Parts: sequence; structure tokens; C-alpha cells
Amino acid sequence: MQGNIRSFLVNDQVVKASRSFVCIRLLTYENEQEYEFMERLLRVQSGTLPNTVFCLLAPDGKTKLTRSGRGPSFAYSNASALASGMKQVADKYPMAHENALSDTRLPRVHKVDVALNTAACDNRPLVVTVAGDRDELAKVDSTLLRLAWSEQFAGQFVFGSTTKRKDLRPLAGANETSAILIVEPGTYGVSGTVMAQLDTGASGEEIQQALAGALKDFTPQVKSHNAHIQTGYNLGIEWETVIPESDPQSVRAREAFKARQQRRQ
Amino acid sequence: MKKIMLLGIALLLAAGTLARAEENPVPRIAWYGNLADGLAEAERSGRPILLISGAPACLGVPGVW
Repeated sequence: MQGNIRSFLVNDQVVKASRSFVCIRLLTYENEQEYEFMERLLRVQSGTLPNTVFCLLAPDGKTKLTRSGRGPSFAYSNASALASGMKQVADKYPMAHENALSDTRLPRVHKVDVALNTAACDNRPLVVTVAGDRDELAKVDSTLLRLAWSEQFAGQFVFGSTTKRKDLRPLAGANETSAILIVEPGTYGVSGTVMAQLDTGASGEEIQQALAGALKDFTPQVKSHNAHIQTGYNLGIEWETVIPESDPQSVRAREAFKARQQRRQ
Repeated sequence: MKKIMLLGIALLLAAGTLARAEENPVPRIAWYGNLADGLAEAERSGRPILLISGAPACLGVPGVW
């Protein structure tokens, strides 16, 4: 996420206004259906989606309430303007304020490996739920739901879930029987370390204590953007997207960076 | 040599100050990480949607937006 987009999204008033919205953050090149949805939203030629997208939409998920573009700055001059705009939008929907933090689903990323990377990008702990099948997983998720959408924890964790134990391989310390794992992502989000884990049947109080303890113990990493990329490149850590990156600016920048590195070697 | 050691200690202290757990985590946006769940929740709850997308890698290196 570019720095100027981030500056909009960490603003206190924007965060406050966000509670009356359903906030969806997609991973641009990780899902074909989502990619096509965003192409239609931006009305760009097929296969040319930029790497960042912004829009406010009506609850129907179709009606645009603002200009769509690469970031909030396409529609709002600064974070305060975005916060005011969001409040005005929410005021038009009778249920928006009433239904704040009343969600009936965990706000999860669709795959554990992508969730782990997202947690590293956000510098937040990751919660993974795991069970043998979808019905069992729904039961595990239901034990977390109220806490995930509480004022205490909303927005503090990234969530992922799976019915395949092999998806937990990047997570050091994961037990065979755990149903809820709280994970500290590694710097590059390709591995993680289990901070706490709970079996099926853990009480709400036990889960709350584990989440609170993890938040207390979690130390966000200090990342220098350029040093992170340089070291990652030197270590051979590369993220393979599901869909080839299609933002011409990003593709050119990546090629130029690689060419510079190869000349240095 | 002494200056280098002092600089090193200062940097370590600075790093220790910056990289520590948040005693009171700041409020953050709670993001749905997939479209289907987010759209279903918006329809159910009647709340409008704040939609953002970003690639979880920069120049192909993960762990940073």
C-alpha cells in the first residue's frame, strides 16, 4: 500500500468512521474473481488493473458512491475529507451506525499463506482457525466472532482459516490438535511463530485472554521500506502472485530494480 | 572507536524504544480480506462499503505494502 494511501487509512477519524462501513481490503493479484470485479469497478481494459484500488460502494456492492481510482486521493483531498465523506455516506443508510461491529463473519483473508503475508505487511498478529471440515471450522469461527468484532480487538488482528493442516507448515510451533492459533508473522510473511494456541472447546474467556496476551506481547517490527526490499532480494525472497502483476508502473519499477541488482553482482 | 561504540549503543536504545509492544493498541480499521464475505456482510447489515485493494509485496518482495 503506497504511503499516501496508508496515511488516509490510519487517520483516527477515518478509523472511527469505518465502524459504520463494511471495510474490504483485497489483495490485488491473488484472486481472479476479485481482480475482474475491480477491473469492472475501475472500467479499465482487461488485464491492466493497477496495483491499488479505492472506492466507496453502496451496500449492494454495485453502486459507486465516489469516484473509483488508485487511492482515496482520487476522491478526497486528505484524510479529514475522507472521514467527513464517509460519515455523510453512512448517515444516508439507516442501519449503518446501528449495525457497527455487529458482523456475523470473521474478517478473514482467503488463504493462510496470503493471510500470513498480509499480517507481516500490516505488522499485526495473525489468528488462524483450523478444523477438519467446513462445519467444524464454522463452529470454531463462531467462538471467535464476538471477540473479533469487539471494540477491544476489532482491527488488531489479521484472520485466516483452513481445513488443511498442511497450510500450517510455515507456522513454527503449531500443534496437531490446535483449533485457534495466534501467530507472530516473520519479517517477510513467509513464515511465522505461534504465540499462543487453543484447542476446540476453549471458553470465550480463555480465547479473550489469549488474544489480549498476544496483543500485549506482540512487538511490531520497525521496517525500513528500502532496506526491507533490498535484503529480501538478497535473500532470494520473492512473492509469486496468482495473477501476473498488471500495473505498468509497478512492472517497470520491478524490472528496473532487478536490472540494477544484477549489474551490481 | 569510542564514538562508534556510543553510536551503536544509541542505535540499540533507539531500536528498543521504537520496537516494543503497544500497551494500548491504537484503533485500526477491521478489514475483510475477501470480497465474497465483505459483500455478503454489507448486504446483510445495510452498511456501505469502504473498498481498498493493494498488493502484499513491493517490487516482488513480500512483507511490505
